Amino acid sequence: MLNNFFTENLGTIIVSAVLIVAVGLIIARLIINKKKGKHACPYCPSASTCPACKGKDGGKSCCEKNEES
Amino acid sequence: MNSFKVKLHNVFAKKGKEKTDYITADGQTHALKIAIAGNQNSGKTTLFNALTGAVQYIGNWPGVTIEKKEGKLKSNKDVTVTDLPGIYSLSPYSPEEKVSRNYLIEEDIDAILNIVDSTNLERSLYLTTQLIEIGIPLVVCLNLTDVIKKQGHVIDTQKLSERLGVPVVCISALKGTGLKEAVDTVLAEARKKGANLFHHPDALPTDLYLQEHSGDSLFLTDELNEKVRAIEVYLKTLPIDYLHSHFFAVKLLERDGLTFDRLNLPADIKQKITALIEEIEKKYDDSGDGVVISARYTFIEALKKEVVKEAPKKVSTTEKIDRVLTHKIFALPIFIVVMFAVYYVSVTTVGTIANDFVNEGIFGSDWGLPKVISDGLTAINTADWLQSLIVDGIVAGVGAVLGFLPQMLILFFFLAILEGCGYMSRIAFILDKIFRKFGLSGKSFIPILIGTGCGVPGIMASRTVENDADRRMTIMTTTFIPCSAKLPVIALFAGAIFNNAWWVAVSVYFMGIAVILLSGLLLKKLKPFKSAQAPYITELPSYRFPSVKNVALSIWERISSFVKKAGTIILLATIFVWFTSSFGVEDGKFGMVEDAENSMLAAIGNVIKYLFYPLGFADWRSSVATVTGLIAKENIAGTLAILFNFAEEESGTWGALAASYAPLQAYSFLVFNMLCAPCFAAIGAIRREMKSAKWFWAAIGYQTLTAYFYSFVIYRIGSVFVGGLNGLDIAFTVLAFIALALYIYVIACPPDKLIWKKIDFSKR
Repeated sequence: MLNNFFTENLGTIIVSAVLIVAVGLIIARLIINKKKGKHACPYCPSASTCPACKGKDGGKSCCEKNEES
Repeated sequence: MNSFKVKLHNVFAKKGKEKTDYITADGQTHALKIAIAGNQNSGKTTLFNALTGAVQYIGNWPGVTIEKKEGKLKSNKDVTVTDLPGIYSLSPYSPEEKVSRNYLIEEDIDAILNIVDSTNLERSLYLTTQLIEIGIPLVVCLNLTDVIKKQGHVIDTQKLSERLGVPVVCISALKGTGLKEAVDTVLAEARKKGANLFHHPDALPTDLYLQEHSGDSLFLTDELNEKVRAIEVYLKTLPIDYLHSHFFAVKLLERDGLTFDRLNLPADIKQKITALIEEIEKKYDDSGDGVVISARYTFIEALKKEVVKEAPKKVSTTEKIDRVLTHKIFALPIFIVVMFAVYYVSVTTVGTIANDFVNEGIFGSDWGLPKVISDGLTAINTADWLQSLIVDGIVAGVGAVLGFLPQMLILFFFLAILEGCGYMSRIAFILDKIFRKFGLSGKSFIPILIGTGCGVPGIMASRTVENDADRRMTIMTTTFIPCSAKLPVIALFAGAIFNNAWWVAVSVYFMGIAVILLSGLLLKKLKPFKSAQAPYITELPSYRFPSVKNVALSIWERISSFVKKAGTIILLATIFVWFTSSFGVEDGKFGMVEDAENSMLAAIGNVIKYLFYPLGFADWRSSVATVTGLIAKENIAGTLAILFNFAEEESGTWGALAASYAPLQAYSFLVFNMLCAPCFAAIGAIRREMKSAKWFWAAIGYQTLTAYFYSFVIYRIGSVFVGGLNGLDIAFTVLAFIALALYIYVIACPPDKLIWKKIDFSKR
């Protein structure tokens, strides 16, 4: 019976799994960015080239540094 | 200390690939740190990009870099290079100038690359004289020497070097010439520094180094040097870095407040130093800083006459163009025409053609993504609810946002061209005169201009505004200008309700500017915003053809951040909206609903919709879309796409949306969402920049109230012309007229004649 369930709903299960993983990764990324103080960085037009937002200088974004100052 | 290890380490410093880190006396490795300092718009970031291989954004107007940025030297990864915000003096006014000064004094920098704009030698050398006094090895890089040659001027760099006492190198940061020489020279200078740090064979013993590098300032008179020496004697009794003592002594003579605070001088020493300063002030009948500034410029003027052979003065191309573009009568109309053209082409003509292709093609129902995905999901027998989630939710929602990518691409292209050619700094200059009449200054326009891309860097750019009151006002008003995230919403309504009318996008943009100006008038009436108007001095850079690389970089940055946001935040939001609008209690059971009116989202929306009744869009869908707009403004388009079933319609028609909104309602909705509190990212930026909970809430409250007021007035007074008013509507319309009259009264009335008590936020 379980086999029948999996067979009949295989497409749904696979697509759902892919979606759950994708959403999980997105949420995890957002949480990691927030912890690193880069919460605004992904949406900053200069984020792709800012070494601070890329973590090259120890991971502190310009937002985080401003909070400290 | 393992001397064998030191010798072995330093042997490798001589042979093969040159190492530039050293082992210090306590066994630590010290890698070289070079700072790039100079005036705004002198080419620092261009040089930084060339030296490190980074791709920092360069705009052809001052104030682009507001935070320091670090990278590794391409030719030697052991060397760290830092690009500092541009400064004109080491007595900073604005927050980003303080960033530069503090970095130069506090960080353990080994050498400074001072970028000097050779087309503005006199102004640039003022900073150079102060940088030399810091005591850190310095190399002057004369940039834009190709421009000087073109103008027919000649600079004697050898004489300049002798007179300044530092190496001078000619470079063109943009073309990449002279960079190797600059790097070799600055590394050689850095190695000479402080034997207490290095055991490198080239390093000098500390006392010999300091003997060579200490002594009187070349830029002050003998009398002033005598006073500086006397101050240095007092400073020797204090525990300060001896390398900087000369610099501090000169700053104390200038009565620099930051230096006094930093050194925290004992009362007796402070008194003695003050007496020395007062002697000079009495003699020259000028303040301490005035005397020092005058001495520096006297030196610089004499130096310029010695080292520069000027060609006969010709009117440059830039000056000829500026005669038209900054003309006192034509400048503003030209600006209006330019911005109208930008938005007209981006949103209406070329933009619409490109958008139609994307919406009807890639996201279309004939052969586009929704059909492919839908067919694919059907083929593998996925459940109906999952198909609905993916096609009606995710694809419809995210697709509605991404569908406007072509318009944004074109808009960003034009903005990048305007920035790169040098016109943007003219805009701030042109608008300064008008802004002043409304209590703002042209400098406040720079953050607003940046805000047309994204509100977050726009709000952060308010650091360039020196005055606290003006900075707060700039932060509060920056997001009134439509950012790129609002463009999909504008384009959606322009297309669905107004038949792609050209005036929709243009009116929203200019309304943003109008609201900023009126806010200036209004807020200046309040005590916390009263201040003397700061002068606006800006450099107008030469016009140049925008480099393809910079334009491409600018577009890429903005587009990629937009797409990233669509694939993350907006995707999550569309899933949430789909779920809450597809599930609810129907016929007494919880599950997927046939009628969206029975959904959870409708239940929430039906409660909050009453807040928006006065504004004319008391529909649960509009209310919910407005709230999801706080996550990201593009979400408004995505949410409406799901709630109005865009997926089931012929692409690009948005029939259900058009049927639900009358033009006046739609415009009222648009105005409210364009002016109200921005997205969470921008709200976070406001909180960080305001540094005060009270000011933060004041900013959010002001923005939301302003949006509510404008939307209310536009809808209610507009309804008089549209007709069909009854009962409550008449009452609201009367209220709108009263509110408008009151608003005009408050703006027009002189502050001392206002009849109510002024609100004071100054207590934190």
